[in-house]
Amino acid sequence: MAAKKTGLTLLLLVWLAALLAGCAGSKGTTEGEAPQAAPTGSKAEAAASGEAAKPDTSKPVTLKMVLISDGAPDAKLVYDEINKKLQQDINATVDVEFIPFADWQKTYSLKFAAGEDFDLIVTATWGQFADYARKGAFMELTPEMMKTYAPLTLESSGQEVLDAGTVDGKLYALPMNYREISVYGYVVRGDLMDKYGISSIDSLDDFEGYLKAVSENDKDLVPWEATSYDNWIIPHMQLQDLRERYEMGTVGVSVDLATNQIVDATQSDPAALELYKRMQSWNQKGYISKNSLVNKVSSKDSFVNGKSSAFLTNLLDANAAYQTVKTAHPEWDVRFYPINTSNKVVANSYMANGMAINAKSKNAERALMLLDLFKNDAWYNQTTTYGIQGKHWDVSADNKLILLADSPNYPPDGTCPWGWRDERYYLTSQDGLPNFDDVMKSQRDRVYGTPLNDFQPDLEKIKTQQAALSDVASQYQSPLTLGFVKDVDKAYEELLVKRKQAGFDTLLQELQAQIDKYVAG
Amino acid sequence: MIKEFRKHRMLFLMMVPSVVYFFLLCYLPMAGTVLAFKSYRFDKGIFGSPWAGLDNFEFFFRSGKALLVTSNTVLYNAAFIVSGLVLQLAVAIVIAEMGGKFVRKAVQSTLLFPFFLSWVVVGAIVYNLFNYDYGYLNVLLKAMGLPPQDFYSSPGWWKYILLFFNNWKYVGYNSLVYLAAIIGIDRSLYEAAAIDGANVFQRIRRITLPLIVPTTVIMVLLSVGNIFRGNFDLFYQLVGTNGLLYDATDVIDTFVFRSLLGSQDIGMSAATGLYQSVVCFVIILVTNAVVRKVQPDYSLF
Repeated sequence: MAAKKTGLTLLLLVWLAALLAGCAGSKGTTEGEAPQAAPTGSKAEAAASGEAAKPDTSKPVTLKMVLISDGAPDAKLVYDEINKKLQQDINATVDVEFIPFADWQKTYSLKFAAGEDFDLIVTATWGQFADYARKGAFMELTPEMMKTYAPLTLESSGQEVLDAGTVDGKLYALPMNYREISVYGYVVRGDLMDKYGISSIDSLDDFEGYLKAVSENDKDLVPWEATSYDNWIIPHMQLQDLRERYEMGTVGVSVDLATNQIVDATQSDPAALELYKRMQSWNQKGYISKNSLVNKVSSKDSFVNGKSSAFLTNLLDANAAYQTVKTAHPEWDVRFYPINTSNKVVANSYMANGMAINAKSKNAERALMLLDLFKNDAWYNQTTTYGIQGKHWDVSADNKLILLADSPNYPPDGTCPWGWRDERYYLTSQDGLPNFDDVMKSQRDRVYGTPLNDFQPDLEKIKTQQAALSDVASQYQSPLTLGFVKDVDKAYEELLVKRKQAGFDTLLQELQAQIDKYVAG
Repeated sequence: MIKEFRKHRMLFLMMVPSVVYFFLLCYLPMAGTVLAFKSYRFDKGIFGSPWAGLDNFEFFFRSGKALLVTSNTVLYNAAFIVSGLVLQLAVAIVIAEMGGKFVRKAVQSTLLFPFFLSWVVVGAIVYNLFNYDYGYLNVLLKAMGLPPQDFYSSPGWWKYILLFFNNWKYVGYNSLVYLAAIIGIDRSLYEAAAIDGANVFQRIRRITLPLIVPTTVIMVLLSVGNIFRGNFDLFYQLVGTNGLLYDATDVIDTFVFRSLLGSQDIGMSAATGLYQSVVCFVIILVTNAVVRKVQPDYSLF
């Protein structure tokens, strides 16, 4: 019965989508042309007076913005404050809707499919930005629009930044003006390291030593929970980052940095099989929790609550964990060790976060003006990111972020202001990991610019293979990377066979062709 | 026709809400099935998007798992239907035969309770029962000096675990229908039987069971109509993303969910939805035809 009902609801949604798309579609074209028409009309004047035309903001509008976040208790308070100022600046207010993280993909695509009326939405490479852009979800931001409504962004964001928001020659989103580097590493407890005489964790062998010591001596601690995020980091680091390969977006394929040729590490690199064997031995010796494939509590939560001794994550997340633990258990002496300490580092695309305008937005001009303010005005930028200064946060003499008592009601970066993050206004935390700045500097010094940084593969032709492979990865690859199989060689062979069956070779060929074309062009 | 309408106008009026409901929610959305043959674009909508031929169906069959997940779906549902039928009938009969009102209500409420738990909660209960490190069952096994069982790596167990929890959740609720049918049976039949000296088993065998056959047949027909649709919540919440168990526990719905989570392709999910609908439609036609042949009064149409 329940299943039937869900089915019906879905069908209704599809039907509604059809109706709405029909109505909104016809309106969308007329409205969509307006912003393009306006600037061309005023271009002559602008040229005559020698400055950009002043946009018309006489009519008050309410903009709707969709963000991915579980929200924050003080979000309304903060945005009320922002709206007061927005009204004066651009005669607009913004109404924020948060899509919860759980199942966000479903809600996100329904926003477009149902033809919902909203103006701004967060987008990113991790949210299939290019795919949505190609399917007509976002409005193209023409050079004229940018000149009139987002002049500050044109000034502050380099060509490199805007290129990242460009798909097939058209600008569809404003990427954040922030070079993000995902620094993956081990988070461990200093008190245990001292107890067992381990001085540093610089390799997988060191980490193994740590887990071994914990599993033999601290029986009430799970050495490592290894839930969803962690179990992706180990093979990702061992087979890609430490071997100067770059894993592109969400398709699970990596490219040799020197040659721009796809490398199928799982099959061609003997390190893969070795890694799987090592993971199996960890699993059998109890270094990895037997529950890691099904556990719904993340490794981080387990660690923070004192149930396990280590987890893997990125630097920012580790920093947050450090701050959480510091007040309750200062004696744990949480430490972070980056995995990649000497190899090339590929920074994330600027499109690792960005903001786009709904193709059916009726107030695209004002929405773009709002983005221009959020991206380039220190007050807007920091208020949306950290909350109200003096209540949620403050800034120290050496320009570091101080979190005040109310901060948990509006945690820094917690309400999805990522799309307009900016290097000029982004603060590092005062009481974070002691080695935070050193780690960051060491990574920044090794950044390698690859032309593929902003490459956005067109997945339309390979969506069949992609779907089949995503199932193969879930069924055959993840048990292997966590050592849950009895016979590694057999499971490895099976993985290769199943991948081939799912059309892996076709996927590789198509992607390589797209890469070659992109690099040449 | 008009005369008929005049005569029963109140009855027709009462029908209006459900007719509207089915028209809006079942018939109109059928136009959306066209998505299965389209390459969907947000700006062009369902009817404006370009045609894609049969491309959307390809992934389901290319994976080589179409047969496995389809047969898993059908076998699990068949097991659910058969075991559910037996248990629900038994529960309904026992409750109907029970004497004390207090005991009867207590038993009924206890059995009904799991129905109101969401599958997410049931998933958490199952995890806490069966997980390796601190699951209730393994703690018990260890306390008795037995080696702990790694349930989440042993596909063999899950057929029974899933079957058990599905029945545990639905038996109380679904037995209500049979209970209503039993209560509707004329009491004088039982009194006459009692006077003739029939014991409780004879009364059940000769009176209760024969008289609730029509209800039973309709209930079975309704569930057979959905035999190609897996109960997504049940399988997803209990098994989750545990690849080790997929071969034993994967149904069409979980397989499609997993394959398409990354790409969010509406056309491809519509294609599998259509596949399930068509097969279900054929199945229900066939079953109904069989029922009609055997006993015309019991068929749905």
